[in-house]
Order: sequence, then structure tokens, then C-alpha cells
Amino acid sequence: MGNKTSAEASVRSSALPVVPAIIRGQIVTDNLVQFTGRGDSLTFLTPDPAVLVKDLPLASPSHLRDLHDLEFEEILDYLEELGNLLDIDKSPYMQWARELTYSTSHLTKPLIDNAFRKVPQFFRRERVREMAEKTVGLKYLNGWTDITLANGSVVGVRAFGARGVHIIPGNGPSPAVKSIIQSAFTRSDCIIKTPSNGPFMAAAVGQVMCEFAPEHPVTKHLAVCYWRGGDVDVEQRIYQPHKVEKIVAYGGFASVKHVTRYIQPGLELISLDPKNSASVLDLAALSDESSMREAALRLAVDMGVSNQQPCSSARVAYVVTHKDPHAEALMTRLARFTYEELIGLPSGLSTTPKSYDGELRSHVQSLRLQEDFYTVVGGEADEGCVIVSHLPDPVDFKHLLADRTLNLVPADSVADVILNFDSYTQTVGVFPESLKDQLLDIAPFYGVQRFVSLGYSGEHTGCTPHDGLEMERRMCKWVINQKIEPVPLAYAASRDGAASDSTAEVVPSSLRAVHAH
Amino acid sequence: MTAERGKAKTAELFMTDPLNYFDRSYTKMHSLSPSDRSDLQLHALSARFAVQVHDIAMVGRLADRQGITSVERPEDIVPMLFEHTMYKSYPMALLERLDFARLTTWLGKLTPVDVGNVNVDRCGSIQQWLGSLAADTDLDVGSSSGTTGTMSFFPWSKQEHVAKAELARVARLQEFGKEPTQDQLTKPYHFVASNVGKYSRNYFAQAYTLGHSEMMHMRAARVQDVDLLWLAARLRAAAASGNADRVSVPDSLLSRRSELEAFGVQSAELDAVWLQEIESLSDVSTVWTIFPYDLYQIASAGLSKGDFWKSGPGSVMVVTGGSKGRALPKDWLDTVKRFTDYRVVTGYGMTEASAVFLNCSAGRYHIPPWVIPFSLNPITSELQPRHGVQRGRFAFFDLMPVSHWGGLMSGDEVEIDFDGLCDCGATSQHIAPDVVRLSEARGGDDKITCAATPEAHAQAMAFLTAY
Repeated sequence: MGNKTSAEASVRSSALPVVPAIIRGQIVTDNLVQFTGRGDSLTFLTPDPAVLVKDLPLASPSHLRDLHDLEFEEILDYLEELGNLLDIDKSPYMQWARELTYSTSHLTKPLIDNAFRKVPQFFRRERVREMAEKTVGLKYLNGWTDITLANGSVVGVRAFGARGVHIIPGNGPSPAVKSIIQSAFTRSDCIIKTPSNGPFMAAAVGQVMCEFAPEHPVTKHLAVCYWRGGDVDVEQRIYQPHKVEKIVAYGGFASVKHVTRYIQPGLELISLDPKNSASVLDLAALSDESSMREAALRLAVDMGVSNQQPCSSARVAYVVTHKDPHAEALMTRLARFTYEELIGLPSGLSTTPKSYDGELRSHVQSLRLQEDFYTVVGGEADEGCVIVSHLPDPVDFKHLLADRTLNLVPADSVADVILNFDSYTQTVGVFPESLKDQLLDIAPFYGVQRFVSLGYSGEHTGCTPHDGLEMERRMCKWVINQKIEPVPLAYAASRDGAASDSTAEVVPSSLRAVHAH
Repeated sequence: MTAERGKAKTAELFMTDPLNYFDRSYTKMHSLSPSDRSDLQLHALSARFAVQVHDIAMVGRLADRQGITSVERPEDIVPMLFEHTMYKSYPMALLERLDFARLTTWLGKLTPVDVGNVNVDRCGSIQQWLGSLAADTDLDVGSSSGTTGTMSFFPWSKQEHVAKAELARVARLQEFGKEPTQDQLTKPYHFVASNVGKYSRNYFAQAYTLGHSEMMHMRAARVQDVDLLWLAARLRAAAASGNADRVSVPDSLLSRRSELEAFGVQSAELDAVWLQEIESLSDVSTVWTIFPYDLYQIASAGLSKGDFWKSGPGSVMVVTGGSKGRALPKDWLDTVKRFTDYRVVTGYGMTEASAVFLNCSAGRYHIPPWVIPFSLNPITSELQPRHGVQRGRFAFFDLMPVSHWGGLMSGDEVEIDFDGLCDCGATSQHIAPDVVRLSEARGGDDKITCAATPEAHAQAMAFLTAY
């Protein structure tokens, strides 16, 4: 369990990092308390959430009005300028966050450097515009849009912002950035609950926002705070339908276990489950050296990207063998090529892992001796490896696969591959492209949510549904305005005798029941 | 040369028959001087390696890979320790397909016992396979089922089981510093067990009751059938992955699902009968072996009825095993002590070791001298110094077994005192009481990532079904 200790006295002399809270334009560093994650190297000081909690939620939903008074272009102006200020070479806040991330993240320095360097791109004007358009639709975000029904009636539809809490994961800087951008273009109020394994990034962006535009509505609608997940004193004062309307929770059970007890009508949980991803390759398409090399490089990228930390990274790769008698030898060759390409990937994409999971190592070392059943290529120095299954089954510890450990599994047919997918499958990378024809309309029933061309699992556009749902649309409150042309009405006196109350006819549930013919 | 041969002979007795080497005395086992212990251990270790590198295929294979040809110092054996996952390193699909021929081949590489002639043609279940192995060889292979539905198989010979049970009798009935009594050496004891695997029933029961079957009091409300245990684990794993309808077990086993359900229904009744039976053992000598949670449950239920269980002469409750995922209050032992005047001893053990390490009067788990402990870095698994107090991944070489390789790296993190004398007076090496699973010790609190883990699934299932 995380421990909270009063640290007021020792703050000055302490070398522990201070993570400020951000409260609607203000950087807060008062009432510091210390948090330590169990078995975790990270200990930090942050304002006591029990004191801050009263200021976290927006006082009234009507205070969202200032965001809705903004022109969309003004929001883009703000985000673009913010993005420029988050340049890692210029921003001391970003450098601070990066420095602390080095020591606490499971990722290595080159990967962290790259992730921080990428941040301004997310804020680019055209990118944000496209995200807003493709995920929700600018016409709904920026005003009322009429839709006309077959009976001629017209309904105006508008996506209003809502008050949301974002329980973000600790893998890299992008989750915090994503929540801030999504909240801005949906004109939503955003409270970010940071994770104990990465509380810095949201605080860094928040500080930059407070300095450059403390009075701007987007700044005024951001709060960032750390509290221990499950802290009842804090959570029961936030998770109330009159305080917030949406809870966006990444990380599945780890984050929602504390939240579910508060869910009730008026408080919606948008849960982004933890997932695993896979690849599917057709052995028939790897008949010559160059195609096998290409497949190997693509596979190496999908397993290696960000050292296999993201849920979209490939962990098991199924190879459709069509019962080729040489399948085992060919797959071992594919494994060797994949391993070679993995070792040669650019350091901003993939490196030798900072540390290799001990439980996983235990399994891999045991398998290494089981040559009847498996061939293990690489991994002698914890640099990552490829395990070839000789039988058509993934390793029994497939959910532990991480730190650049891939399992190549033979399957007689595509139908056999599909049976291995389940509700925890997210992305499937496919090679060659034509193989998708056999997967697209069937694999989703088994859980697959995203298909990519092999080698692109790490390319998240931000412009599409994610984890099988449309989260940006769900972050909004969808309001409608039914507009009916005036019709001549038949008053009671004029309907003398007409009101036969015949049960044979369907009576409309509106004024249409009594309009004059 | 003669002196050398004498030493070798002594070491041979020490490792193959510790029971008689130490005159069936628990005190003698834990009073060996550190230098004698080191000498005996090194002799025995070198001898074990020299033989088993040829006799056990996987040991030979590992030695080739690691380039190890002899053992001159205890630490030379560290690259030769098996991972604890070794005994479940076969593809589970073999079990799903009832491919016992290949499973037998796999097992045969982990033991010097020849399993080549075991007839598996008519094996339609795990139970039958283990039965065939026991019928056709000296082995009585143990099994245990993991939370994700994996199953490990561990080869011990029948003779070793008998020896283990007799060692257990010595360790559990006797107290350090006291000469063994005639009763402790030769009298039958009543035996109460809540963990009722076949070893308890067949070997431990014999060692305590000396063949008096009416003195066995086994908890019936526990599934003993190894196939049903595996089915239960597979059902849980399938539900946790969101595929409750896709349970990969043979149809013949799936059709036995109703037996599991029936067990759940009957268990309260069976427990009531069992509790009544053991309640009456207040004036006879009795040994209990029980999981902490089970004992706590009995004690707290008894206390709430105002009961107090008296113990007969020389009786003892031996509590081993973790909480098995149940919530156990910190003061569970106090609750037990308010409920009974039994002597309560806790132990740290695992199926892979020849002895459970029992807690002493100073609260430390003592390692018998035929087990050589190692402390490894919990992250890299590199060897840490073999002196002073070290906290790390627990690894050991158990010198007693012949039926399998004694070197193993466990999944536990412990604190070992390699050379400090214990306050209890024993000279043996000892472990601090706070033993934790490596995965627990290294897991963080309130850490959130987007990649799924089996633990998260299992926890989520437990949580969802608890509502």
C-alpha cells in the first residue's frame, strides 16, 4: 500500500522531488505530504489531496460556459502555443519531468527522450482539428447541427463538454497530453488523477499552462492531483454526479476497482481495459529471403516498439503454415531474422530493456532447455528474445511476455489462429496485407479491436475509435433540440364525437395526437 | 587418502540418510558446527553433481550450456540451479490433449529414474498417468496446480517420501534443545490434516500414526482429485480471459464439472463432521498440519461459540503455506492461541524441498544442514554474498534427493542469516519470518499501465464475482 506521511518539516532539506498540484490556473505546493509506492523506487512529495479535494471539482456545471464561448480557432491557438512551449529543449518543466522519468520509468533514456521530443507534435493545429473532426465532428462540437428525419421533422444535435476525471496510466508522457487535448476540443472540464508510477508529466504541462495563460478558460478547466487510488476520503468527495459526469479510466481493473462503487446514474465510467496484441503472418508469403527479411523487420518493429511496454505491442505472432512440412525450420529462420532486426532497431524506437522481468526470465530459462518443444533465439543477456513454439500453442506464460520477448506460434490455418484471440486482444498486425481478408469480418467476434499492417502497431492516429469504443464522443454530453413546425390543432370542443378512443389505432405520444386534419 | 575416503563416506551418509546420521534428533540436526557443515555440504554437493550431471538429462544439458564440469566451491553450483518454472516447462497443450507419452518423455529428462517402460497407452487422465508412473517405477510424482491453470509435476521417489515423512516427524514432534523422548520416537500420534494431498494420506499419516488408520483425521471437504483440481484452475483461467465457453481441457474431464459443483455443496456438511471428530482429540497426542487460513477460520468460529480446544500430551499444530489469496488478519496467530493451548509451530516449505523449515523459539525458520541456501539478487538473479544477513531471492541445493536435481531457484524473497548464531541456540542457518512472493515484493501500488497481466484478470474476476 502507498504510504502518506506528513513531510512539512523535512521538505526543505529533502532531496525528494516535489510534484505540484495544478488547480485551475494555480500551481499548488502547500501542505506537502510524502507518497511511497510499495516495492517502488519512486518517493515524492505532493500537496495533501485531502486538503485539496474541495477545490478539485468545478464548483458548478454552469462554469463550463466560458469554454463554450470560445471559438474553436481560439482553442487551437491556445493548444498550438502550448505545444511550442513544451519543446523539450526550451521548457525547464519538461526537462524536470523527463529527468524524473529517467529514474522511475521502466523505459530507457533514448526511448524517454524520444517520447518527450514528440510532445509538441500532438498539439499541432491541423492535428487537433483533424482529431476533433474525425472523432466527434466539428459541426457537433462547435454548434447545433440539424438532422432531418423521414417524417420531415428536424432535430438539432450538439456535443457539449462535460466534467470528467481522467485516471491516466504511467506509461510515458502521452496519456496526460491526450487527456488535456481531448478535454480542450470537447470543451470539457478535466481533472487528471496521476498514477504513482508517472505523476510528473501532467504536472509539468499544467505548470506551463498556468504560467503562459493562467486566466485562459482551458487553463481554468484543468486540475492535476495525485491521490492514492482507493483513498475514500478523497474519492467520495469527487465521484458524485453533482461534481463530475464522466470518469475515464485507463488500466482496467487496477484503476476501476476503486471507482465502481461510485458509479450510478449520472456518473458514467469510460473504461479502457488493459489489452494485449498479436501478429498474424502467412508462411506462404515468406518463401524467399527478401520477403522473410521484410516480415522479420516488420515483426521486430511491432514487438520492439517502446520496448514492448504498450498494449498494442506484439507479444505472440501466429504463423499460418498450411501444414508445410518445413514450417519448424522456416519459423526458426524467421525467428533468427526477427532477432537480428530487433537488435538493430533505432534507439528511439527500441533498446535493450532497462531490466528484464524476473518471472519471465525464469520461464524463458526453463524453456531454453526444452528443445523438444521450443527454440529460443537470443535473450542470453536480457536483451530480448524470440521463442519458437514447435507445437501449435503459445507459451503458457503468454500474458507475461514483455521486455522484448516474442513467441512465434505455428497454426495450420487462419481459423486456428482466430481461436487464440480473446476479449483481451487489442491490435493484430497482419502480413501480407491480403491476409486481412480472412480476418477482418470474423476476428472482431473473438475480441480483436484494431487491425494494422504489420509494423504499424505503434502508429495511433488519435482520429479513430479506440479500444472498441468512441471515447471522445462519450466524453461529451449529447443534447438535442427537436424542432416541429406549427400544425393546426384540434381542441377538445372541436373534436366532438371524434374522440372515439378506438383501440384499433395507434395514438402518437405528442401533440400530433390532436392535430386537425 | 584414507581420511579423504572416510570423509566421503560420512558425507554419503549425511546426504542420503540424514535421519540416521543425526540419530533421529532434531537438536543434533541443528547443532552441527559451521565448519563441519561446510565440509559435509561441499563433499556431498560435488558428489551429487558428478553423478547427476550424467544421470539427469536436463542437468547434463544445462551443464553443457553453462560449461560446468565440476563443483569445487558451493557457489559453483549457482549457474546449475533450475528455475522453479522447470517443473511446468512442458507445453500445457500436452495435458489438454492427454499426450502422456510426450509428458513422460519430458518428465524422464528431469529424473534419473528410467520412465521409458511406463505404459501410458490406457491413461485417460492425469490421475491415471501418475498412477502408471507409480506402478511401473520407484517414483511417486507430485503435482500442483497454479492460478493460471498451469500444473507442475515434481518427481520424488517413494523411498524419499518415506524418509521425508520420518524427518518431518522428528522435526515436528521434537523441540530444539531437548532430547527426543521415547514417545516422540516410537509412539503413534493422531494426525489431523486439512491439506490432504496423497503425500499426507500415504506417507505422513504412516509416519505419525504408524499404520493406525483410525488415528487419521483428514479433512474430506477438500478436492483431492488432481484432475478436478486442474479443471477448477482451467475454469477459473478461462473465465478470467473472457472465454468461459472455451475451456481447453479434454471432454472427458469437462464432463466431470458437476462433481466440482457437488463438492462445493457438500463441503460445509463434511467439515462439520470433521470438526466434530477432531474436537474430541483433547487428551490424546495429536499432530496437525494445516494452512493458516483454515486454522484461523476454525479458531475464530470456535472462539465465537466460546469454545477452547485443549491439547493432549506432546501435541503440536504445524502451520505451513501462504494465505492462498484469502485475507488473513495480521494477528491471526493470537486468535489461534486464544482458542487452544496446542504448541503452534509455523513453517516455510515447498514441494521441491525435503524438509519444511520450522520456526524456532526466536521466531526464525531454520534450514536443515543438508539444504545449502543461496541468496540471489531479486532482479538479476545473480549470486549475493554467502555471509552475513542477505535479503534476496531464495535458492537452494537440497542434498538429500536422488530422484531429481536438488538445485532450485524459488519464487520467494527472503532474508537469510548465513552465519549469525540464532538466539534459540541452534547453529543452523536461518530465515526471517517475513517471506514474500517475488512478484508481490516487486509489484507497485497504484501503478497503472495499459498492458494486461494475468494477475489483473484474476483479481478482476475475484472482485467482480464477490459482488
